Amino acid sequence: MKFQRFAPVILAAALAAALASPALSQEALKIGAPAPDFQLPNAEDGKPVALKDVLAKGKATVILFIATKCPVSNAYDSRMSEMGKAYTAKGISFVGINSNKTEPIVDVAKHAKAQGYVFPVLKDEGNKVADLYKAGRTPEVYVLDPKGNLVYHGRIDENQDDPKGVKSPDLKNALDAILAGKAVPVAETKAFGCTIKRV
Amino acid sequence: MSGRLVSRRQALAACLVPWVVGRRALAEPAKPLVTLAPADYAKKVLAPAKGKPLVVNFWATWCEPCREEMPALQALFDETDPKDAGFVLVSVDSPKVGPKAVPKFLEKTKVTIPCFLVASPDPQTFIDSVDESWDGSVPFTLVYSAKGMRVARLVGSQTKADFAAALAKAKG
Repeated sequence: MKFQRFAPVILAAALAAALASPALSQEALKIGAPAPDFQLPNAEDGKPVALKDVLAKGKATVILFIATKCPVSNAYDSRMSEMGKAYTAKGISFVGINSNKTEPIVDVAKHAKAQGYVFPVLKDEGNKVADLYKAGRTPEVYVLDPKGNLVYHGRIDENQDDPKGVKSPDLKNALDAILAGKAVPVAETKAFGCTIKRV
Repeated sequence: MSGRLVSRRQALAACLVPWVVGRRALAEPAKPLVTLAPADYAKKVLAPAKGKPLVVNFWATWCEPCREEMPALQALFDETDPKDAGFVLVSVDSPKVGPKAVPKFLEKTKVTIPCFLVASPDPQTFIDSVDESWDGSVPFTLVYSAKGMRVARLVGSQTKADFAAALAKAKG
């Protein structure tokens, strides 16, 4: 009897909980679909950075979900830094996002500075943008065309141990194809790394 | 005097330790790591367990939730008769880091579940060889029945009760 009385409340709570964790309950963004807009503070100076402004500046936009403490993400630090420099010079925009609740904005700023990133690293408090993108790991990459549609999602490459031993430079291949005006050859790969520490 | 004291202590330990940590932990100390190529999963992991349920846990030393759930899995392993079910760990640590980091972690944490180390420079090749719908996140646990049918797919960190429930399902 009591259960019947409270059943709607319990069901509503369960539904609300499910909706509050979209990253865990919904499918990943589809290739070709418009990526959600966002605005987040730059970890370095706190100034807001909006996706729509970044999109307007580049031939494509690379969104990197990264971490400061994840060994897998950190294995790619130098690669992300080098690619950021090389492809920014070719007109592609880069944005890093840190969504880990365990990594405060001060540490994110220090890490970005230490790596010499030429692109802003944004702090995603409450992992709201990670949820919007259904991002689950670090490093995890999303590449958007100038209209904001998703053209590549997945990993940077397959070899976290050895940048010189990479055989499948998936992100590089995607960016080179975009710059050449061609379709991205492999639009989806599986990002491999540490789970984003959500609230 | 001292010899008698030592032998008394040894006798006491011999009686109590198996009761405390479980006889299986003593019976099967941590084995040296065996590497696992993508093509080896069925042959090296699944085939030897045919005839009894099998719990396969994918993990990494750098994965915090993996480290957190490990004691729960070890506790269930200790309590389970080896005749009733098999347990296997598969580390997805990289080929560069894994050979040193994994045995060190297992020894430090007294984990005695047999452990394989993935020997594929491309994680995605291995991930797809196990389960194409697996997104590669760890911890990830698959539970198979005695007939080799997959009966549970546990994503993320689990409790001992979660592991036990999945194993009970596998036992049917």
